[in-house]
Amino acid sequence: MSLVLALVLFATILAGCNAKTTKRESLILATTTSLYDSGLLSKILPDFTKETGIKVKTIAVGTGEALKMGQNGDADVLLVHSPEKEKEMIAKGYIAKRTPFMHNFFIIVGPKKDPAGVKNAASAEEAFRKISKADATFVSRGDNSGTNNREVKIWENSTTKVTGNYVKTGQGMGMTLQVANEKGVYTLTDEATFLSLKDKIKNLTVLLSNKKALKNTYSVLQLNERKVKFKKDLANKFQDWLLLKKTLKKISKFGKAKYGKALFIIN
Amino acid sequence: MNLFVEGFIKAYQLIFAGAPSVLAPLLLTIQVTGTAILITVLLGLPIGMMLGLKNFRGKQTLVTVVNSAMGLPPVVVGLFVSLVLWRSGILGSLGIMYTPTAIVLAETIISLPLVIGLTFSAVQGLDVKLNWQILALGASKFQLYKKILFETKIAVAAALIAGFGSIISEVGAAMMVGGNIEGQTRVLTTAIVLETRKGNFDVAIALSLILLSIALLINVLLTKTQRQGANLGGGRAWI
Repeated sequence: MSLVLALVLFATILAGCNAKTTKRESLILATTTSLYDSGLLSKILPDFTKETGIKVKTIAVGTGEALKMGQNGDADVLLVHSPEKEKEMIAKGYIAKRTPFMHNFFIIVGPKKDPAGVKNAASAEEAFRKISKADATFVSRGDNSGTNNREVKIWENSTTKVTGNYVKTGQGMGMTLQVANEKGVYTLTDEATFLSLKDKIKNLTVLLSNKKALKNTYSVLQLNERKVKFKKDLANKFQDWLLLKKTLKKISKFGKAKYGKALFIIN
Repeated sequence: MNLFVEGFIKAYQLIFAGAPSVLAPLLLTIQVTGTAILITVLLGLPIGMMLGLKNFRGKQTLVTVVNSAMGLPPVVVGLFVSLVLWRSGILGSLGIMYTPTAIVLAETIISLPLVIGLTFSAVQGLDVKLNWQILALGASKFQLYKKILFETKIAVAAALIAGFGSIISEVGAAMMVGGNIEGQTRVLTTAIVLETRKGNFDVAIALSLILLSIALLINVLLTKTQRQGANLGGGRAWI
């Protein structure tokens, strides 16, 4: 019996070894969990591999980690959404070029009851002021991600102390929304993640979707070869492909069928 | 409660349909865990046995190190292996970060101390007079080791079960050094984390059921071997 098991095990391991020896060019794409969890990349990246034969290793981490990976040359190209941090990286010389190419919007969600009266707020800052005043619970990602950076900025601009009941999950948007849903409390989220999880977070409803000020811009970042060692040719091929009209068209259609609304708007 | 039922139903559908989101992680888990446990056995058994049989300066220190390493948090192993394998790390030029090889490396590091430590204590527990007797009967060094392995079959099987269990269930290291890349380094545990994060609880449950089934199957087979060892060892009592 154990002999049979051993043989089966060997067979599977050998099969694995054969698969590993087919060498293909590969590049590492560091991106944010919110973009990855929306499912967009799984939809469009296979096209890139089909057309160029280049394998893409997509690593979904928080924006903070993605930018760090770029700085260290542990990634070849970055897809992030934290304009301020990105500009810092440009100033430090790690990023050669930043190309914003698509966006959606941040929204504030919370319980239908809305004890803090966020529904009546004119801006995100006012909404946060109301939440703080009511001492309502607010769930933050607390992970240095693009969404987290924006949330912190809104607190700063609201010139009010952070609410007494401030919860940090340190996790991705999906998890954070689930936590907020369980507790029936407020949080800031990007529209795409909220839509993709809608039936699982029935406790939460959109309370503020103030369009212009909460714009969530996604950019593709090209690393600076003078400061960072990375696969420049592959990275350029990827960026060129991403910004092609046909790729952008495909992105602009993503989500329409499933959610009735496109998850990303091309700039 | 509804979530559970929905999950189980979807789980059966996915498994029997052979959905790639479920089969690919399954295959990779078997390959990676199998390779890691194989390397661990080839290295760990001899080292553990030699530790148990020989006396040398610094043995006590080495034993302490091995015992402490048994409790190494897998996520810490993942972090340290990442630091080494990242392009910015010492072995960065090898380019094995975010490949199944990296996961095998991390998992071997996690299970090795367990197998060494438990084999060592099994061998150490043997009466030294037995060794003398075997040698007195004209056995070569190699034959001695073979016989000792046979005598400690039960405990060694336990070491393998522990080593295997520690790596098939771990998620921290696999996530960090593998990157959970679809179709490339997504194993059952990291797939469960992702599907849960995305709210696809039915898929997460399906993956969990598969993982539990494999762990159960392997352990049943290993335990059977353990029992056979007990019977062959001259009818030693099964307690």
